[in-house]
Amino acid sequence: MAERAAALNALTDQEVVLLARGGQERAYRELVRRYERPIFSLLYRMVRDRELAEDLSQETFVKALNAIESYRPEYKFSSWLFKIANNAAIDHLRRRELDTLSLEGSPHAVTPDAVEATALQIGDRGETPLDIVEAKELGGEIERAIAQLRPEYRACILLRHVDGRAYEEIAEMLDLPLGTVKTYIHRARNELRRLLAHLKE
Amino acid sequence: MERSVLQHLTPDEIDLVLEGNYPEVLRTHVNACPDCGSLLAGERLVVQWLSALPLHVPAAGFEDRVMARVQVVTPRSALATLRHRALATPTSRALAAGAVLSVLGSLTASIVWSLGHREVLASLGMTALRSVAELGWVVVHGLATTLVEQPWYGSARALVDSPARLAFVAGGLTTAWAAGMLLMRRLIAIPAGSVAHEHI
Ligand SMILES: [Zn+2]
Repeated sequence: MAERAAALNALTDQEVVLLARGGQERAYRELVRRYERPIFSLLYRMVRDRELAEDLSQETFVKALNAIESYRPEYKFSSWLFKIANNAAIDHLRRRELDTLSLEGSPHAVTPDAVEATALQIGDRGETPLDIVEAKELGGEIERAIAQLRPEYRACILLRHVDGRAYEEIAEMLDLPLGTVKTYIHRARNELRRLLAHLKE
Repeated sequence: MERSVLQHLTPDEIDLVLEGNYPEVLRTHVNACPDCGSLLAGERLVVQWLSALPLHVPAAGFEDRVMARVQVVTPRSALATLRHRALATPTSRALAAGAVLSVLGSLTASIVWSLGHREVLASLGMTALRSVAELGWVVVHGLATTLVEQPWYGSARALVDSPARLAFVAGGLTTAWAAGMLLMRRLIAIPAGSVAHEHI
């Protein structure tokens, strides 16, 4: 059993997808294990609500895995998954914006208490308690700054500098022109520099 | 167009530097320009902070909660996959229905037409039969002439002169033909393993 799991670990995403299409449940589980953290992190940073991010992550995987037969292998599996996740987040944020608009007449998508609801998972890297507190404080500041960006800037900057995706890949994932993606990322970095200027010492 | 060392860095050039490409002309400018120097340092710091952000972890049991709502694919035969694909979208359904209708339609039309034109068919059949017979005779005649003209014809004829030799040669040829057929069938058999993934 451990041997089989190790063998699955060594396969590429495309190979695991082939096994899933051949009806192997363990291949489905492998795909969830590979991407649950990156997908959940992206969604959490997009919607700023743990429970909601968890629901949207589940939706993303359920939608992708139930449609595994329609996935086109010439497309990167992770790009496909991130595209579904991002669409889920943007749909949710648009709906919330509409709700807020109709209830309060305010166009702001992100509520302040939602912004505050940030909990970082740090540890297991041999940091001292002081390191952890500092990292938590710094991490918290950065997370709050990201939350203040416009959602489309947020998605772009997270995919580029947190997930390390190429500009072209982001453009394809978000259905945006390459030039727009570059502009969003440059503006997001400018915003973050301004918002985090007090941290530079 | 040559880039002047006096120009400030463009956003694309900042990207280039952040990705690790630092052309000399940009380096020279940044070293001499405090504005670009501090801009680049700020961008570097932001990128460094972002890439150091830890991953968030979903609550325990996430994988099982997902799998409870996922329908694992049952491997299908090639025929079932074809049927599934044909019924997948409205367009594919329309195409499949069109193909079936046109096959059925042309079958019906040809049956109806042949029922109403038996005498035409019969005369066509006779003409075709006569042409085939004539062609057959030409081919056989040509082959026979060519055969007789071959230098090895005499010895081959001697080989099948007696009934016993003829039976022996015929037996040998039949065995070779049967072996060839078996080999061909093996070669064109589809490996069973490829069926499950045929739609990829
Ligand atoms: Zn400059």
